[in-house]
Amino acid sequence: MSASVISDFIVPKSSGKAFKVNKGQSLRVIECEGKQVAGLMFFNAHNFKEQFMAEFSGGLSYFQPPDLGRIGSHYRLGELYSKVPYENLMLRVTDNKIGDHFLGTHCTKKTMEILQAPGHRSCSDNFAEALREYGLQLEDIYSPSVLNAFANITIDQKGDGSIQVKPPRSERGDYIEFQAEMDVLVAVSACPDDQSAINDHVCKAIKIQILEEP
Amino acid sequence: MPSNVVKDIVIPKCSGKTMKVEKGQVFRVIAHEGKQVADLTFLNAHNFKEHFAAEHSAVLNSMQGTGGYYRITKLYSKPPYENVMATVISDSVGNGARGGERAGHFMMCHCSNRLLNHLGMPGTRTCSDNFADAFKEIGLNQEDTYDETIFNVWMQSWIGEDGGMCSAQPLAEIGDTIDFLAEMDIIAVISVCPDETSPCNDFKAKSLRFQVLEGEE
Repeated sequence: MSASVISDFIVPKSSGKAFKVNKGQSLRVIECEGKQVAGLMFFNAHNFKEQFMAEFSGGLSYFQPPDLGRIGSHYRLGELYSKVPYENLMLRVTDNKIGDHFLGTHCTKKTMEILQAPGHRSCSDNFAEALREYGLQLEDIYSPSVLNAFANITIDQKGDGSIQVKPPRSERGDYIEFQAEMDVLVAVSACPDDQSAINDHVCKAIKIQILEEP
Repeated sequence: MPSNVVKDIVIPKCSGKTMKVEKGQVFRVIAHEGKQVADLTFLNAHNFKEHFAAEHSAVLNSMQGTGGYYRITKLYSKPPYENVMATVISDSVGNGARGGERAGHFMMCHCSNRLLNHLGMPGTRTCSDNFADAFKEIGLNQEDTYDETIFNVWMQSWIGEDGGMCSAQPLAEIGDTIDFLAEMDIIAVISVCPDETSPCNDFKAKSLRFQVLEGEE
């Protein structure tokens, strides 16, 4: 690997951060402490209406052209696409040893009410704060679904299709790496949920690196 | 239970349409030809930015024991709104009466042009086309609204152990219904799924019947 790190920073626990990654650059989302979920949103940097669509990307990664085979699924993403009517490839997963993640909604005010913690900070707050400097509000974001990196959540195959949330299997140093196929705005939320098992009941920081080939 | 039918239409196979439903009215979907999926999303009639979020509703219902990805009771709007837009008050398939291993709906994405390209069938009509037509009726472009994760009524799909999407034919039979009580003035945005390439509509696209009901008795 000859790529060099051009940006390296910490997203403190229970906070959000937004930043740009240019086409061709790589983004690394790193477990600097372990067992911490990073919620990730992506936007076309030149048209914020073109937004990453999480579930759709899981389906498209699974249903690839027959000659390419299956490169991902709902729990292990291969490629990231934007919402209809765009449906463009935004990023590609280039390194993902740990594998786990969940393509689904982020925690919100209502989630915290249901968890008997009304007023508790949620990923909604993190995303709203992070995106404010780019002029984006929660009202402008079409889907609450994000790539919940390192989340160990599964959907029951039977019955009502209820979810089961377990502590992450990721440890310190695990990471997921993406290559940008277009200029993107990224928003990261270091999930502030210490009420469920999603972050093993302790909120921690997430480390971000942007890499570039010389 | 409102029982006075004030609107009763058949939406032809492979097409999209919108219907307005006022607070307190019931929106009924009828499988009048049998195994056919109705793709539904909903907008607040007075603020189109507030739309239904199926994936969020799946998780919120799961946490409250009122459903999951294959059935929901409360239909929530996207954050930051998170209002209950409608409540499922009757569901002749999701209540288990038709048997099957799962409730029989799917809170997930609709079919789209890129998906059909990936499957080697470019140019095939998809729910994306139907939704684009439906949104046009109320002056909206697909770019400016919604989230393609929607309520796929009678779509018997599920997430398999490997995270892959699996599908079987709908459990619904002729005459099955699902009733939504509107908790605010809403616009139902409807796609009668045109897919004939998978078991989702039992390999044959059909029409669907929709009613709006009101009244105390």
